Amino acid sequence: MKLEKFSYDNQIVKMFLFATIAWGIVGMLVGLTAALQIFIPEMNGGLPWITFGRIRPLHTNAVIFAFVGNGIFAGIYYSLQRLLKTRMYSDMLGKINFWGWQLIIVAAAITLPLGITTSKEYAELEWPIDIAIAAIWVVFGWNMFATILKRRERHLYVAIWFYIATFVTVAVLHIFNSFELPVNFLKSYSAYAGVQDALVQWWYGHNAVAFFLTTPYLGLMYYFIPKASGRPVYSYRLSIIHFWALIFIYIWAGPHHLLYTALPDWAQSLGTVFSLMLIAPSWGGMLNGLLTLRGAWDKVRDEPILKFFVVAVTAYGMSTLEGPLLSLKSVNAISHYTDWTIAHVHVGGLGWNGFLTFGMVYFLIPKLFNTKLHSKKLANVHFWIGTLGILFYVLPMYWAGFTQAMMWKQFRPEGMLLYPNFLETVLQLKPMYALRALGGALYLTGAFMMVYNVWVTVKKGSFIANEEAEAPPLAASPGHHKGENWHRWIERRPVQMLVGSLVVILIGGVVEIIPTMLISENVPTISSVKPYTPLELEGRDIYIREGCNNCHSQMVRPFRDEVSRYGEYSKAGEFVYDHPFLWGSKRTGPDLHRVGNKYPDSWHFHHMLDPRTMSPGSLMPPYPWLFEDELDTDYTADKITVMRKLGVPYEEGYEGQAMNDLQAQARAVQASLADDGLEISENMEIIALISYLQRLGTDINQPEITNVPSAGSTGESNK
Amino acid sequence: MKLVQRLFLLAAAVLPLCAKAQDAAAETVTQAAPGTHFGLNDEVWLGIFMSTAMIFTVIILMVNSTIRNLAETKRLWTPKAKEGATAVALLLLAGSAAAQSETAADTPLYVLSDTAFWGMLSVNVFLMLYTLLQLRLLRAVTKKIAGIEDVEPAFIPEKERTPLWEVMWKKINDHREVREEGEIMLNHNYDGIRELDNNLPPWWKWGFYFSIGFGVVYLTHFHITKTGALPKEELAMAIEQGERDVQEYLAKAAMNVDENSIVYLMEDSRITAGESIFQTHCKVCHGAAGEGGVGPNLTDPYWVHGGEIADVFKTIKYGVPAKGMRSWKTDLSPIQIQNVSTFIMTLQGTTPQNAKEAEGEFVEPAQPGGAEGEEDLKPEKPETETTEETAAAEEDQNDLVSTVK
Repeated sequence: MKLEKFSYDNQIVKMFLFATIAWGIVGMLVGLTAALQIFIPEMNGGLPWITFGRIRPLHTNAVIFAFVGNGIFAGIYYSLQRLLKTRMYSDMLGKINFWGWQLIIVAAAITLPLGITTSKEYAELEWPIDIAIAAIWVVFGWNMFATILKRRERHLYVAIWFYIATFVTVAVLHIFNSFELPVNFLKSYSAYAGVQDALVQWWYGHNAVAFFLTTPYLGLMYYFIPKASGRPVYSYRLSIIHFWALIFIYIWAGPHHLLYTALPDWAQSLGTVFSLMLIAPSWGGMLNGLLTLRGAWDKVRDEPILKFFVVAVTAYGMSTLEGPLLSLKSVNAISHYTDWTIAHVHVGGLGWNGFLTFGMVYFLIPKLFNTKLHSKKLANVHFWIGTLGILFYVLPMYWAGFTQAMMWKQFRPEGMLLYPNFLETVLQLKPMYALRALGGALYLTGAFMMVYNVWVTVKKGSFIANEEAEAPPLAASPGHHKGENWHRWIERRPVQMLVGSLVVILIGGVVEIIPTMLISENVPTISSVKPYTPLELEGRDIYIREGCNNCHSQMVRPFRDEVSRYGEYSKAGEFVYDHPFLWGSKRTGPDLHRVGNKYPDSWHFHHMLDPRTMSPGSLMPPYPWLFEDELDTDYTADKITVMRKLGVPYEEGYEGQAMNDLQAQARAVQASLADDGLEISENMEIIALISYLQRLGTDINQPEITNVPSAGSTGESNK
Repeated sequence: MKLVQRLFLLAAAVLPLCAKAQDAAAETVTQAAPGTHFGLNDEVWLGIFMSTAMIFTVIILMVNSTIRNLAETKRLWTPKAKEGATAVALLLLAGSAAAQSETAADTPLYVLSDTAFWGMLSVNVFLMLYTLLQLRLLRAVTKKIAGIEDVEPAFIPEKERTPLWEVMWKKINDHREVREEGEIMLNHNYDGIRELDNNLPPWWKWGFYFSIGFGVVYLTHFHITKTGALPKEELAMAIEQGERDVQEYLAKAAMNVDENSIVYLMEDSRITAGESIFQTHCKVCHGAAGEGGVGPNLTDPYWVHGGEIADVFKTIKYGVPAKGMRSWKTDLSPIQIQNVSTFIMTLQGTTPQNAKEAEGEFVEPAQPGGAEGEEDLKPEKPETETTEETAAAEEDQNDLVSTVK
């Protein structure tokens, strides 16, 4: 048979690879800044744009979508061509994919520090960027699929199954979670409210981890580990089972982020059991990765690339075991809202994604530049300092999480909380936060070593933009024959593979989300819960802009200690007008759902101006700009209109009256502050924020919890 | 191997640092009730931790030097002495860090904070694992010296009897040996990547089935038979249990009153209860109105054995046999003694008829406390409250204690 000559496009791989490295450094630097601010609040230099609440989403978006995202594209563009024995379908689509993606990242890097955010975790970007992401993702999928269709290899390798599943699922997740109604070019409200919004968000958030951080990287693992070790994949049939089981089960597990919240119990239980079932499919991936190295452990000893891969896959195994365990209610009751979660995600992020990416970079750079890596020794040092960094990061965070949860939950024998002051439990963690920052700095140091190593290697080598290759043309389909694995059938049919994965991933989402949307008894209404006033709505948007939800939850769970500390537990019916929901996922500060009317307006005034005057030692940054900037009321009327379109029962025409109500309420807040001797214009942002905080959780009449003696008294003291 | 070893060392180095840093912070913070872990006294734990840590360290040092000597004399290879030394240094660091967090506690008894406890436990576990690693290394070295090379399992001839664990290992993994993998090599070839067709590892498969079974049982338990408590029921149960615990504690705490913890609190119920005890047991000697008789007058400000309520309590509890006052601790419960002491204090300044002449020393009549946040019953409670909030909470708690009673 005649061999066809063609060439692989390395240019696009190089671009994505360099972008991966550059954004990786940026994302980690932002992470380190956030890590420092969390125990030295002054580190923000008094600048709103780099205050924790705004750069935490910047960090997560940068490392997930910029670092790992570019890593995915680099790895796929490299491996796809070689696994299919063809050049990418279109160099142009590749370039659009690349530059479009970088523009999105730049847009994120500009808007997030400006406080332009939807507040939904890992989906913070506003609607115009959301549309751009969808468009670029389609360009990527188009380019990938067209490449698959013009392949010279009849069967699709397991890595490509994962790429296909990644493409369809991320598209579905992104589109459905981003349903939002714009107020203006830079502001929108989520189409879902409260419990529904939370469920959709965590269906998305969880599966962003699954289908952005996991499945594409499993695909990369299936390519790069056998290539780097020269060993055959351990078990073909294991890869079939774990692939389908993984993508089917993963999608169900989202509700484990919402255990003990106002989400209906049945949905929580589904989240728990599917998470548990996820252990084996996840470990299938780990086993196939590690056992592929059987017989090559001698190579692991002297090859830093393989060392990175081994730790990456091990970290994957550890965090996919830990995740399901954290989904058990009894464990979740301890871990949730604490730094334990932070430790968990960083085992995955630093270990699995980071180390796999580093290994891939060390593998690809010499190949692309036709030379040897400048210094294997330096890569080894990178490996060890990175590993040390991971340990220094995660161990203190586990410690911190466990310590804090234990402190929250302890009662005195007389029935009072042992640590009624939330701040006490935070201050305990300060040394842990310092150690974590050290861990992050070590990890980052390693990344800088890689940058230097890559730099010198690139200088030394000569880039091969178009790598010559040859292969026979696509052979006719062999058709089914005896003894052939049944799965070979679908491996020859990319379209069926795509549709098959789509169907498999839709089931879980449909079963969980649709009933929560449609069956009213899942969100029992509370008649006393009313929409926010215009001023409160504006205050809420400031809360969103400043990213308060990154450190404060609004979800009192039905635990004795939380009911004792904060007040009545949160009910689903209280959030029906919350577009978007603001339940939060981490308590660096206390829960705020019952903060309304707990303190006088003047307390909030002082506290926002300088938290340490009201809570000595507090780790919250001051917000002086709220006292200097006037509230922007240009869109207040539009906001009311948009909310009405989303089903919030503002009367027809209320937007006309909204400004009057807003000003009246603002003057009332101003007057209450003046009573305490605090002079400020009623037009300042702080007025709106105070009005929102004072409204929080006050709509339901708090019934007496007669069995909890300390409910009222200890509440006073938690700042 | 080296990789695993180094990872252990890293972890061993990080953990105690955590413990130290945490304890540094803990010094300013209230510590929870001291005492025991898993039912054993902390002194015992400390002994166990210290001795095992020492034993492990000695073993490690010995094995380490043995290995080095063996290796050097036989010129096998030079194990990095540096590494051994680092290991020992790190471990000592770990040990001393744990020990320091220990001595920081200023209580006379050894009280391990939870942090110190878990820190020391982890250090010990790491030491143990490290010892095992060292022993393995020693075995390898001795084998090498004896001429039995540690060779790739692929070249070991089939043994007549395979050890049990090896059989089990094979069974639960069910994979082909590397040397036999040609038999299961599939004809797939993707950019040079080949695929084997090993069976699904049975342990993995059964684990998967088990997790599915668990899911079915879980859902049935909570949502079909409804035998499991859902979050809101859990809350009700927790509150109920908490309430029970508080009641139980308060009941017990009352029984624990002693001369050190008693505080003079004027309460009608207490005085009434005390009076009836007085009329039953005390009037014989001290008179129905406390005017005195065989025993001294209790209404005047002169006291033979001290006039503070704590002194009275003590006198009743232990008696002063030499002076004719018997001990009542086997007859009266602490709470009864407290009540009767309180009643006696109320007799001050009354002027009954036939009052016996004063005996003992003058004592300024005490005022009942409690008005200014004085603590009533506070056995076994830490004394490190600092902030105003906690003081306020304390007050609430006193109110609570009195109302519950």
